[in-house]
Amino acid sequence: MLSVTDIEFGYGAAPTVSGISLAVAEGERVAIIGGNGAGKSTVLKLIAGIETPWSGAISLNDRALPREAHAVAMSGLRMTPQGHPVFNSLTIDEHLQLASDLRSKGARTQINPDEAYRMFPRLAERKGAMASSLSGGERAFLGLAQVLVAGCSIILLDEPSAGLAPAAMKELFALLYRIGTETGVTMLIVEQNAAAAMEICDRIYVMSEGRILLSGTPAELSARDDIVAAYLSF
Amino acid sequence: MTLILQWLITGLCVGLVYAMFSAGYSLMFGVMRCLNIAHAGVFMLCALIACKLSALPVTGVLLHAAIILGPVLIGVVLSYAVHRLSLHYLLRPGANTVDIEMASFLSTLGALFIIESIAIEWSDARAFNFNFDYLKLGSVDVAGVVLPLKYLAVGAAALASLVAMDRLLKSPLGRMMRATSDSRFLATVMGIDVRRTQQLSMVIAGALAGLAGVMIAYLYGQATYGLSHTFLLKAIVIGIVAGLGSVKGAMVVAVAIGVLEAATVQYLGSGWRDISLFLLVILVLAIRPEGVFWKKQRAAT
Repeated sequence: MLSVTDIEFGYGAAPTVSGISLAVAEGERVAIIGGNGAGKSTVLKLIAGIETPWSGAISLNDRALPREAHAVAMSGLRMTPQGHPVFNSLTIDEHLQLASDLRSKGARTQINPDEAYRMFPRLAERKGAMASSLSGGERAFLGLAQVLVAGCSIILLDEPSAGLAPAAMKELFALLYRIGTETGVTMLIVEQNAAAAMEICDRIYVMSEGRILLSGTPAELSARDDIVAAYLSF
Repeated sequence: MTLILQWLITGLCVGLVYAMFSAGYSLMFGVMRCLNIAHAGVFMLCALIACKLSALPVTGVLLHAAIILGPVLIGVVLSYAVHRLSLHYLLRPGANTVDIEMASFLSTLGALFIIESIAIEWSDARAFNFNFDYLKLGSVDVAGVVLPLKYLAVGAAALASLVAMDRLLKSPLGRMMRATSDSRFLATVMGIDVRRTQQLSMVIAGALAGLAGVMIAYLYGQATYGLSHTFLLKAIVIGIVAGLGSVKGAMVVAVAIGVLEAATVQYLGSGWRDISLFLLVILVLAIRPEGVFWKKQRAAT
């Protein structure tokens, strides 16, 4: 479904990421793991159209993605950015209304705000509250609810665990797993917390210094001592 | 008592016109993070055009339509042109947002000079008179208070436009504009075409400035190219006092400043008008430099 072929990009003269090729199949949950500064989030920004690769190709269902980020989002490839940002002067309800005004046509997964409130009861309790008053966990849920209401074929999650308390992180990952299995929506997750990502994903790419080192299923990676030592032991 | 009511109500009505001008200014600043200095020029040119249109050799509905819709249309077109010429390239995706406030200040200042030069050339630096016979309303006596109906009519129309703008901000389009004000990045990620939203905010502000131009020309009975400076000053004062980017705050402060001006002129003389405004600015800068209506925002990447 999503295919990235040999992309290269950098913020300065030197490439930040290069030779990146990856593929995500329909309904799959895939994670990109790696240390700080490995270029994981950059790859996600390139796919979402926020940055434009120097070379290489990105396609969704064998069609090239639009060039501008807002058009990429409207095509059903939606991202939840790092740190779970929200619109500070909009209420929770306005967030979901905004999302339903920005519906993607023909997206695979789409729910209406009422269904979102059933899925995230904590948001329903605080419908009229300003989003700036939400906790980190609630912001994460709001971001996810927005993406689902706006409709998506694939969700890109940029460091969903970052800035969350352990309990909130556990809850969020359990929810991601549930949404994935119940709706069949495809997910590509960039995550520093490799262990958490491996629990809910079907396949893993490991990145280091702007390149993809290797890929495999969580079971395959757990069987390799060097990977476990580098990324999975804390 | 009657005197107080008189200056209070005329000040309120003029303040509502200031509010139309400043609300547009704040809307643009919120959505684009740009100080559109040329906004005052758009307003002034619309006031001049309203004067010319008021002398058209037509009568009745046709005349009303020309005087009101003409400047609104010009305001929209001119605002769009200012966006296209001075801001479009600064706001392109990936542009350096750190420098944008300074760069937009300079490029729209340039646009203001162009508009002013056109106005000076066209009017020969003299005032255009607004047709004296247009809509003579007289005055009304309410329990001993003589109120000029002209002011009340303009105040009511300005209030109606502000209510319409408030409704617009609550509509789906308004939500997109408010979201863009909060975070351009997040708005883009959500699928909002930020540049279209920016153009829309310019067009709305332009329409309001056009209408405010008509109102001021009608109230003052004339218009000159110097209006742009007077109103630029007021917009800056209102922006500082309210806190830039707060549309509702700008509306409230603009009305308050209209009343303050009327009171100053009444009791201290017209020479004190600008002095009272700047005393207010100094006071606000000393006590609450971020502006009365400024809200603490968490940093959104």
